[in-house]
Amino acid sequence: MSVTMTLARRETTGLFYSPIAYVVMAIFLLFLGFFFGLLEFVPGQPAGMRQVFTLSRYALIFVVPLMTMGLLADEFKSGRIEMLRTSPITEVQIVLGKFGGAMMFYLALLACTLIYVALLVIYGRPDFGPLVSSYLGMILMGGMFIAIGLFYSSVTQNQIVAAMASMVTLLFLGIICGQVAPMLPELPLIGEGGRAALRWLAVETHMEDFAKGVIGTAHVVYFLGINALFLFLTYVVLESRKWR
Amino acid sequence: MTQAAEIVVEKLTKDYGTLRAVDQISFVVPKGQVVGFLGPNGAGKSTTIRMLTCYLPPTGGTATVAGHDIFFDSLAVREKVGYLPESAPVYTDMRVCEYLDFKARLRGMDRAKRQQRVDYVLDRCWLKDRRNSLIATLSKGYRQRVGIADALLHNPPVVVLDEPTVGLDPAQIREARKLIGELAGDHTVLLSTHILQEVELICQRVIVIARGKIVAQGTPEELKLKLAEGTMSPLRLVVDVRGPQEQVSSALAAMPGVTHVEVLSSGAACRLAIRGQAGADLRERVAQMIIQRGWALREMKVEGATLEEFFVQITDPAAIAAA
Repeated sequence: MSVTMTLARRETTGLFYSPIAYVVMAIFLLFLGFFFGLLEFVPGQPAGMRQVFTLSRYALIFVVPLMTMGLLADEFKSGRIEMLRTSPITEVQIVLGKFGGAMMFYLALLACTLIYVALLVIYGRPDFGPLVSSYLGMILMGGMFIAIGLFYSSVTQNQIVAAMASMVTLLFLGIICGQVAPMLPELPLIGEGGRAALRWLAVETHMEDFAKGVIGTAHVVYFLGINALFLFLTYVVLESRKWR
Repeated sequence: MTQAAEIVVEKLTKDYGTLRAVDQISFVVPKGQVVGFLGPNGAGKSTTIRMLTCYLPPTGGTATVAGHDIFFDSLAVREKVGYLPESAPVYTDMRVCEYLDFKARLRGMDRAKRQQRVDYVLDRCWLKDRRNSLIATLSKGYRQRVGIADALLHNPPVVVLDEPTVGLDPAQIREARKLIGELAGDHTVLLSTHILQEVELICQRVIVIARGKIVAQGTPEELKLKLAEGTMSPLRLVVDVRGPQEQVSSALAAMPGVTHVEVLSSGAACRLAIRGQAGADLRERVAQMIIQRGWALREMKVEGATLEEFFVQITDPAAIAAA
């Protein structure tokens, strides 16, 4: 446990040290803050953050890959993987440590948005149920996105390739499945079952309830399940790379 | 009384696809000794070391380090080995003390122990004044020291150093060699290098590897003596003669008892190295022959065998192919 914590802490510190992380964080918060001020924090609007949450989902499709692209790719490229592999630590600890470190950075990023909540509390009477469940949904979604980013970082030495591949996957899950799939005509091969499957894969299908204040187990399973899947795949890739 | 063997390697093999980088090598490193792993570039030294430190899995064969099998018990091996890889990879965004503390935590040391050991290795590796420096700002020599400090951090019974002095300036090299020499006794050290002086200075045993195979093993003195086992004498006679180089060479080569003549330099006066059969003392006959032919003998000296010549001979691809 403490090995994983040590690796996670080192990762978080490393992320905070990197200029990329700060730039990305700043752009993300700027983007969100702008829309918060424009859409939500307007006289007459209900005191909530629904639109900001929706927008941040789209923004994270680009933010998370930039944050995770170097996690493992850089270790391979710099040769530090040799130092890690010859230390008395297991691949599982490396994967969980990297994930944990990125997750802590992401939580710090989310924590910065609490200022909007504070503003809503000062100037209005926000409904806390949906806010809390929305943040929970964001945390779960973040975990899933980070796991996907970490996986692509493990398969390549090139950070850009890792970032691009992660973005494509997240675009697929985050936008294409939800928006484009219903627009597709009934194709003979895909059929109704295929459409339902695509709908299930879409992130927004599962985020809807969180935004309303409902924490549905089916949705929690979606996020945790895909999260766990990609962490497992990362572990498999790390193990298999030993043999090449 | 045999010493306990700390590293036992049996028919270790590593293939990269169809390329056999390490070919069924077997050797033993006794406890407490400093053993040099010597070989030309691409010989398989780093690959073997990487297998012993559990970075690469072997394709065949077995090895035990400090009593644990490298394949089945690799976590235990890694706990007992301090390793400095060739590239000395470290996190450049950390400070020296932070990095060493990080490694100490990974090895499960509690706070008191960490502080004590980090202070100790910082002192031992001459890093005290760079304690709070960002590793990115350090020169290669200092980063190498950080790597050595890392390898010694948990006081491991086995220390494996892959080319520890490459990239260091002469003063740093001398210090590093002193440090490595001091490790003998309490630690077993396996050090890989292609710098022969290093081997002669600090190693008690040498294993010479080339093209993935072990071509010689023994103490540095034993290896030098091996030169005499062939038809060549371990001694070399170097003569400086004023005379036409080609005629001098052929005259010398024609002498009975001379096995090899090498031209070291030519010009107005030529410098030649002569090798004779084992046990033959050619000095007087060579001097007589040169003077009789009317050439001027400007210098004659006897050179002892060097490990370098032994190395060049033994790692000659033709010799290995024939073996």
